[in-house]
Amino acid sequence: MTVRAVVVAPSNVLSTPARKVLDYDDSVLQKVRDLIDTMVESPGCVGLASVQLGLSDQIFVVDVSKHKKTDICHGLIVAINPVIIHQSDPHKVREGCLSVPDFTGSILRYGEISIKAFDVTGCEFTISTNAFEAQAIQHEIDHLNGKVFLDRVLDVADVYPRKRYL
Amino acid sequence: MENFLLRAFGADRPGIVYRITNELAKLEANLSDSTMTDLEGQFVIMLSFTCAAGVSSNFIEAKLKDGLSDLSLNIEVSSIEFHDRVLFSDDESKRVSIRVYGADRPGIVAGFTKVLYDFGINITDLKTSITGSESSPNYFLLIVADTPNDVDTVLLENELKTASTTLGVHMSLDVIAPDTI
Repeated sequence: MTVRAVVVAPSNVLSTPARKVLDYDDSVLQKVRDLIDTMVESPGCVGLASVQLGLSDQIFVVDVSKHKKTDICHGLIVAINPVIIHQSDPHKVREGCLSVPDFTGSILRYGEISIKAFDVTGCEFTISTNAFEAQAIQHEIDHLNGKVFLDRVLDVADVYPRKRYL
Repeated sequence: MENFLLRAFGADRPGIVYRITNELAKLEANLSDSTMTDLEGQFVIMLSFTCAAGVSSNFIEAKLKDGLSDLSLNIEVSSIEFHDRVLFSDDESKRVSIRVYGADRPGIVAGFTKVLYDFGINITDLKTSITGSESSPNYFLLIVADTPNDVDTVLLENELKTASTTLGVHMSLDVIAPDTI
């Protein structure tokens, strides 16, 4: 098991879009393992994007199966080169992030999404989901595009200082 | 370093924030917390900052007044002591958002904040706006407050509803629980 240090904002790696994965080799598999191990060992963490480990590949993992706001649930999701291909209307949610421990923020997220992505063998798959799983996936795709939730705050009243991450 | 609080206001126009912060930058002041907003056409600034030891509030105020005389701003700078922000973790408190709107009348803010005070709830942000015509003004109040976890939010909501009935305004409350990802 490899639990890696999580990058905390401000950091260039968090604000730089990740590169597409082109070769589905063992190094990708190792990065996925590191992401899963770090997510599982980080209290309250339900998703992690590669950039949060200082990596610059378009890979994220999400598992919201134990979260009370989860509706549709696909268990552990490993997504490489993910793209949102469908979205519903946005609604306001309040988010916190392992990489932004000192704040939470109210932002807009789509209630339902479909994504297209690739698994560790390079096979394409699609997922349609809603509620908290959809929110977590959007959060991770934002990371892969060089954004944290603070980049989506629209109003001065929508960002809140936080005592600690959890 | 010395800590200061600046309070300034004046008729709103483009450039006020830039001009004030630029004057402070010339003094190598480092800005920290601030609230800046338009109140009835007056742009109001409350801004905390630090400056090198030995620089007095009178000196900073004089520099600002001199450099910004064309803006006709009311400016006051005070030396203050910074306190730790009152923050709670998710297991200690939940944040509530309370919206109130209705026909304007005296006592709306006092009516709702008394309820929060009685519950021991700490207000972190409050905003009010008045709209509508002079003969029929409407009032909007937004309160964001940290509520200790032992406060029964159902009971709190009931008390706030009683206040809204007394004041003849509409009130809604949401608990804003962050979804940590």
